[in-house]
Amino acid sequence: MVIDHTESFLKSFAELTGVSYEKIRDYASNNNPLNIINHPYTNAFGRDVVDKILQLKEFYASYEVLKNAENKEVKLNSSEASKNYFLSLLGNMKDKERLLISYLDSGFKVIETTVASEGTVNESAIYPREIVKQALFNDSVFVIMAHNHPGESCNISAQDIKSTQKVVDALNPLGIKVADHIIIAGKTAVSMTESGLFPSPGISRER
Amino acid sequence: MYFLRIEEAEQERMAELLANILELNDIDRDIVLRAIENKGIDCFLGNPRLFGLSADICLKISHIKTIVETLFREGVDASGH
Repeated sequence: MVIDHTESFLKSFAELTGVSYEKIRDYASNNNPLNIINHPYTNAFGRDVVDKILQLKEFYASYEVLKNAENKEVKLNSSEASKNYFLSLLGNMKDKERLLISYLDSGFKVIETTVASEGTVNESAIYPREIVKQALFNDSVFVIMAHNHPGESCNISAQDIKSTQKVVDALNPLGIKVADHIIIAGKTAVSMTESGLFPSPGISRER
Repeated sequence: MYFLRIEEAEQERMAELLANILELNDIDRDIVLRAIENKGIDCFLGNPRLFGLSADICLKISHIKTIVETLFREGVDASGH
């Protein structure tokens, strides 16, 4: 980290959180300064400061999504990439359930990601007809579904599998494949493909 | 059923998070929500004074800008890995 950036970063952090500048400068002289954000519990900060750091991290995650969307193409060519991508979009969303659909080209690059529906705290509706329309509009070859469980459970329910099957059945005759369905709960992501619960016909995507 | 581009959803989320970090009152919170929605996050973080916020809040926003830009420049993964 360039020293100029380190100084301004530490000063801004101190001003924003009320933590002593001297204290974090001492820490940064022997450690990576970014650990203050990445590992907020290592400095024995008070609860208020840790909460603020966690909020900053979440804000940064959103900022990163927007910046990356501007700067580069997102490729969801593995379950891991898909989980990370949707975690950044749906992680820690606990107010209500949201269903996101990513429409991908033949190289698994994201053409567009949309919020397909929003529901109550534990349910969001699925409208395959609208997903088909948007998939055709985007000339997509693959789609990936993702939704959040506002509770902490990341278990894949029978309803989740049934909903996936509805979308698979709607898109399959058009030659558009559903590559995965990611379920997010808090900071955890589960891939239906990885879990072996994805309804047929599934696809192989590791490239 | 409706479609919302993910950038818009993300901006709404950012505005809420920012309001929480800044511990804003309802009036200032509304200003932030509308400013980010209408002008985008970069414009807002770069020019908070344009939106009628107090000098104290503008200063805090400049600190947040410094922090997130540093993290982004250093390529920090938001998941912390």
